[in-house]
Amino acid sequence: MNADSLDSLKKVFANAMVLLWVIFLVFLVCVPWGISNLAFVTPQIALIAVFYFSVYKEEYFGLLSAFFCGLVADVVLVMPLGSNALAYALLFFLSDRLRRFIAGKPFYITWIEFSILTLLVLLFQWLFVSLIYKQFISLTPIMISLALLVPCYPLVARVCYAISKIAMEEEK
Amino acid sequence: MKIAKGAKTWLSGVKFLLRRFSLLFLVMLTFGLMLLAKADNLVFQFGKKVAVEVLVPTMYVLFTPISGFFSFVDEVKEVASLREMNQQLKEENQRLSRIKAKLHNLEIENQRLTELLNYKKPPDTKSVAARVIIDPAGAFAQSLVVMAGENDGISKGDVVMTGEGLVGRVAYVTPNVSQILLLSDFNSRVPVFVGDKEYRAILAGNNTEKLRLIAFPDKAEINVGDKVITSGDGGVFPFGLIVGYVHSKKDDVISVLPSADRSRLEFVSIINFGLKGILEDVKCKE
Repeated sequence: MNADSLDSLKKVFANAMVLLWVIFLVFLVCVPWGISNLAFVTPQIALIAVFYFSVYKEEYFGLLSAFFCGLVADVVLVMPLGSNALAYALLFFLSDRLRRFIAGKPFYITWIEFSILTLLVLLFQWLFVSLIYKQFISLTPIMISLALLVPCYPLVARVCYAISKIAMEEEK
Repeated sequence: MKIAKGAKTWLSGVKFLLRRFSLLFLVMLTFGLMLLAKADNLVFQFGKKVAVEVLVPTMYVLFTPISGFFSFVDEVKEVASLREMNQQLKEENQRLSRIKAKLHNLEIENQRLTELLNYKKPPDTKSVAARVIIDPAGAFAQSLVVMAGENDGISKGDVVMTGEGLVGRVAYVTPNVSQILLLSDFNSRVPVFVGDKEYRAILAGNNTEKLRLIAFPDKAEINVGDKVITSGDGGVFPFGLIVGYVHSKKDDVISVLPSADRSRLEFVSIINFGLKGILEDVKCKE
């Protein structure tokens, strides 16, 4: 095996690791935790990973990967096909385009920016699902789910940072 | 050489366009997928079945240790309250014994009356117990996924219950996995009777814990605490299954709390009452 193909293999491995991590986060939402008040508003923590990798590690996680993870979420969350896929892709696209306003800023600024972008994406998803159902669905559970998602950002972003570090080392 | 150069330029042009309009391309792809889903395309349905059959068992294997941990915590809690539970069970046992004796008499009476009326019995029910492995709990959809499917005799439209009451119905089924549409889902509509006077109404989900009562008669006297049972209209659910109780009433907004506690749905019974109802013509949300 020559050096080029070995490098490509390492790159594929690093990308797969990041992709599997995001899919793991998608799955994590689906586990029956048995917590009574959480049963209706579990936050989609995979959105944090999509945001993080689109801003800081785009080389490991592209727009197509975000779309694919969204499709997986649609299948396991039993949602209209494409609703999560588009939401994940939109979050990736927005944060990728706004990278220069996000990357390199103090942590709390990034955190606020994540909250705003996720709010926009969830509103888009709400509109999209409402259009499919041909009537507006309740916004309250969506807002509660966002309120639960935002405090999870520091922890999940920290793990994403660790994952990307491992991926980088694998690539080397 | 010229051809190779031309092909290279063409390829980089396509790459550039894809990158530039990637989101637009994905939006088109999504609409394409939605159209295929709507058209009930065979290849698409096969692809979805394969995806569900691969993803759900993978998830099950991956998260069994976590679920196991929570079950262990629950078991420890149960052991701590064993004495109290034992006393409760003794009382419950006595109560059930009395009900059993009563039931026996009613069964005999029913048998005699059936013979007298030459009444045709409905088909026997088939029941399958299944473990809940996915509880998506999304703000956009309310469903469950269980590890039992066509191979276990489950079919689309089967009724899903727990000992406490109605949970929902099977909306999508693959050989080993079934997806259940919960009563709380935005798309769920159940014809019900409310209270002792059995007012007809429709119970609608709105993606929250409480269900809404709609289409009830204007002069209906519905009070907090009234029992809500299925009416059997539409032939999707049989008559008399307990759904829940009226929880609150503000002007014309009546909310119902389901009897089956969503957070404690570990095992469910999937029952085939032999009803096909409107499901043969109307497709469930997929």
